[in-house]
Amino acid sequence: MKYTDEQIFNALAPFFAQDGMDRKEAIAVEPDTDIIAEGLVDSLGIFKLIAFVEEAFTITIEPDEVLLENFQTLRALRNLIVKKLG
Amino acid sequence: MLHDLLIESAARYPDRTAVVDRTESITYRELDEASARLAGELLARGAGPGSRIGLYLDKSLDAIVAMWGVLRAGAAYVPLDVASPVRRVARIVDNGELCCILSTPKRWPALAPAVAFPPAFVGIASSTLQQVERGFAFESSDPSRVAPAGRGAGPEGPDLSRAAYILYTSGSTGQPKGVVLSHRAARSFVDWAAETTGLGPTDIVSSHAPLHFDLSVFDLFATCRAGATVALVPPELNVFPRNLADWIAARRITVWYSVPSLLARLALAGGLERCDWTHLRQIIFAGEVFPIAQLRRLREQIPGARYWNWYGPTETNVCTAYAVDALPPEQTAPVPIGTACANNKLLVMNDAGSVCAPGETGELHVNGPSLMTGYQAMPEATARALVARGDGTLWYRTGDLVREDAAGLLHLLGRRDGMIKSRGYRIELGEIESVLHQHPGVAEAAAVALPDEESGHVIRAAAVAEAGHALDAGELRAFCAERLPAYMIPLSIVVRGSLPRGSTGKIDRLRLLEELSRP
Repeated sequence: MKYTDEQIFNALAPFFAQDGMDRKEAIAVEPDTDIIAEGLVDSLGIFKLIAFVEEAFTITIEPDEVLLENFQTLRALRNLIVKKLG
Repeated sequence: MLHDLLIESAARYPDRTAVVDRTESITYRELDEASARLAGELLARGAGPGSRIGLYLDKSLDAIVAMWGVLRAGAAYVPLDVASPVRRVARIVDNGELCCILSTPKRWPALAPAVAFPPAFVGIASSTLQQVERGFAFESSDPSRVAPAGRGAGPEGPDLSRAAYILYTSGSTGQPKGVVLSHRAARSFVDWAAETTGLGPTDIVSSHAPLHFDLSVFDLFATCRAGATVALVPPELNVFPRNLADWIAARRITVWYSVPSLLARLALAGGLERCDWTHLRQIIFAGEVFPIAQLRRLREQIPGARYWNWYGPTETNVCTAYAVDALPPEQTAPVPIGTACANNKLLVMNDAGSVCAPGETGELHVNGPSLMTGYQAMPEATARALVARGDGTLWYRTGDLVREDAAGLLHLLGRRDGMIKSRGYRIELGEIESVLHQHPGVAEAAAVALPDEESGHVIRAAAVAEAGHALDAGELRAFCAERLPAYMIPLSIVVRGSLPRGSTGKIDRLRLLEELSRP
């Protein structure tokens, strides 16, 4: 299955709107927002985010792919997803 | 005094690196000069012995300069957690009657509107304002307000009993408690810790814990005492164990100090076999129990280091230590907390108030030079925590249940109240319940902690709606998130018709725990 960048970003957006987040209002997460430095994903949230991505794109993220460079922004995550989908 | 450590190291090792952050570093001479300049600014504005100054700063070189500057002015520093909801921080500002807050252009505007009684003056880090000299720019000075905000209570000149810092911990009534530690208490621990670990000027010590967490006292002060370098761990690495492992190896960290849950994650997911660990000579953990299987695994992967289990509530600094010995494969119990250290004395007391014989379980009491002065502006809580014995000595009741084994080593068995540890954080379930009770739709609520192999505990809560109110679990979580730090927010909140009760009408927490642990 091929996705456009926009489809990938749109698929990731609901995670930040509600699922992982204890927030009343949804936060606008841009493709280059540093989701780690902004505290949007912490050491507990990363497991939820991985599960969310694995389910949304039917992929398996390996332990050696759980790296800052793959999760720092939605764009980095998009690159990982595209690579995994081959 | 505590800041003599900096003055002495700056004289001996002026050009050695004192602190390294991501891409920046500061030498002992620079740290000495910047902190002396800040102290002068604070004194000129009326702060000094007896006043308390908040640090609303991310852990950074600015925060380290601020901490030393406050100490040199004779004041006490009060670290404020930038990751906590501003409402909770504002309660701490209020309880601490802070005369000044040091912050940044990014952080201060978020906190300022939440503070009911603003400090007399505010210093904003100027390095973030692209100025050449590292320092703070002061605004909204109101010197007339300094006196009521706590100035002038203490005598001038060196006085070891003066407060050095106040660390806020979770309070069972909902109000965080400020643990006041004196220069004497800090020095007593720091001197012991630096000597025990054999710190020298070539060491590179990790600083993982946030400043409001008492583990930071070792990282910052013991390192300075030795003229060594402290390396601030970038907080984003907490999320990625493999990146963290790479950082520790690349920075050539020689002494690591953190909570066990982080070390456990490193052992499980850090890919430690990829890195060279020859530099890492000491691994110290404290703050919670280290599950033995994960400690064993860590030791197999980093066999060259010496391992220490340190124990001590914030109120005592560190009061026991244990150098981890062999871990036989059949051992399933966690390692002991060891024996008294840093000139502290220990007593294990039973409920009748007499001293337990070895092998008997009782509550650990601590007496010694590293004890807290008391809780900030909470005389009743202080009187409950610090109790005098017949001979006039003052003992801190830890609330921890321990037992002494045949070898004279103490083993930690659990708590006698509602305090729990999760990922090394100290959490009063009462504080969570008190927040839930503040919600207008909640008639009653209870929080329970379920043991969890990875984090220590996970928290679940149940709430009953006020008649005529519809309660939504998601809304309750959001309500908690605005009032509690992330680590205190229950993993789940269940809205129920009632809470289980015992025959006396008290909430039956054991039954609730059972009910909430079913999937």
